[in-house]
Amino acid sequence: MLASRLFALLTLLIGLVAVVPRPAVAEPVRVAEFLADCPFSHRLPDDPIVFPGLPGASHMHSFFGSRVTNAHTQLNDLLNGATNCNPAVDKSSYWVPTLYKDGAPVEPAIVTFYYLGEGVRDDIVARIQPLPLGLRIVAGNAMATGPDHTTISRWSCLHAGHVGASKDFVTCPPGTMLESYLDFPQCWNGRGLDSADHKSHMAYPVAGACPSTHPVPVPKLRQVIRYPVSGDPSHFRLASGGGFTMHGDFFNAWPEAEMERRVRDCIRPIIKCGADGRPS
Amino acid sequence: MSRVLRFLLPAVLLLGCSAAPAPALAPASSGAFTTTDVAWLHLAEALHTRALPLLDLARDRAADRPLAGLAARLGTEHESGRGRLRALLAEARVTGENPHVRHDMPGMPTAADLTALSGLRDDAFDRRFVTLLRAYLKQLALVAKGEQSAGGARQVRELASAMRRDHTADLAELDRIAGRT
Repeated sequence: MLASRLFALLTLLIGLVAVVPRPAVAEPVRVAEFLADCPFSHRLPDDPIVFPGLPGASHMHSFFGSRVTNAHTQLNDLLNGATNCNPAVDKSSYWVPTLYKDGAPVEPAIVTFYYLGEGVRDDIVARIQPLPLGLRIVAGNAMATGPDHTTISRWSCLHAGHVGASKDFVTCPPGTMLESYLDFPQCWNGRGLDSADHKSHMAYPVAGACPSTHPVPVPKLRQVIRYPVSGDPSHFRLASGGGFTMHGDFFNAWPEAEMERRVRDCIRPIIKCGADGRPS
Repeated sequence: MSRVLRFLLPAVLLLGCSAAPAPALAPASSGAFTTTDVAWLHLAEALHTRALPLLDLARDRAADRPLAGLAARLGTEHESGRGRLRALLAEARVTGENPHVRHDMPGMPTAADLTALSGLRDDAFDRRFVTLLRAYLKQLALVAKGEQSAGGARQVRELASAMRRDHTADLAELDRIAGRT
C-alpha cells in the first residue's frame, strides 16, 4: 500500500516536472478518482431522458456502457441488462451525439468516465455523497448555435497537447486522435432524479462550493472520448450540429453499494482508484 | 491525470454555464401529464413551427397545382394543429420557449433547406419540396405513434392518434401527387 502510494506520487511528480515547470517544493498532488471504461455499444435515434417512449424522435446517439438502452429504457432495464463497462458492475448508460466524418459515423476508440472529487474545496470533497441511483443528467448544450459561454465541452488532441483545447473541433496532427472532454455538474438539489429540462436539478459549483439551491456535493463525472480521426475539421459534424453542440447524457445505474464504496474509499479520502474502485 | 489539471475550467466560466432555471414538471393536480406527453407536445409543436414556412413557399413556386393545394391545406391544418398542441402544453402548465424550436431535429427543414428551396421554381422546386415535406410528415407520424403507445394523459394520446391518422393520409396523398408529376 505504502509502496504503491509512493510510486504513484513519484510518477505524478515526474509527470509534473516533465509537463509543467513547478517549484521543486511542489506540494504532493493527490487525486480523488475512480473510473469506468465503457466502449461503444450501439447507435439509435433515441433518447430515454429527453424523449422517453418516443423511438426515432432524437438525432442519432452513440451509446456506451449499457447494451440495452433505447427510447423506453427505465432504471430496472439498466440494472437487469448487460453492460460493456469495465467494471462490469457499472450498469449505467452514457450517450453522446454521433460523430460523422464525411457523412459516415465514426465511433470512439477510447471512452472513459472519470468520477472525480475536485472542483470543490477539500473540506467539501470530504463530505461528497454518492450519485443517487437512477439520477439522469444532460450536460453540455445540444442546442448551441455557436461556440459561446454556454459551451461546456472541449475538443483537443490526444498526444498533441500543443494544439490546445477549443470549444469547437480542432485540427489534430496525423497519427493523433480527436478527443472530447465534458464535465458534468456536481451539485445536486437533493430532491429530483431528473427535472423538466434535465439540467436544473444539478448545478456547477461556484467558488469551490455547491450553491445553496443545490447543496449536495456528488462526484464530478468527466466524460473523455477519443475518436480515431484527425485532420481538417470541416469533414466532421455531430448529429446535433457543430462541435460546440457536444453534450453527454448520463443515466446512473451503479448499484448503490458499489457507488458508496468508491465514494468512501477513493473520493472522500482523495485517493486515485482504478476501475475496481481500489487504490491504483 | 496531468491532462486533467490542464483542463481545469475557471469557475467563472462554469458560473455562466449553469443550467437556466426551468419550470418544474406539472404538479400532482395535473399529474396525468407524463414526461413522454410533454416531450411529444414540445417536439410536435417545434416540428409544426419549423414546417409552416416550408408549406408557405409552395403557393407561388410549385408547378403542380395539386401539390400547391396540399401545401395550402396543410398550412392551415398545421397552424391549427399547433394551436391544439400549445393548448395542451398550457394545460400541462409548461411555459417558456420550446427547447427544440431553434434546433435542427430530424424531420425539420433547416434554414439552409429553406434558402435553397426559395431559389427554386417549377419542377425543380416540386422535387425538393416533396422530399422535405415527406421527411417532415414521416417524422410527425413516427413521433405521434410513440406518444399514442407510450403517452400518459388521455387527451394527449387522443390528439397524437388523430394527428397520426391525418399524417398517414397526407403522406399517401403526397405519394399519389409525387407519383403523377
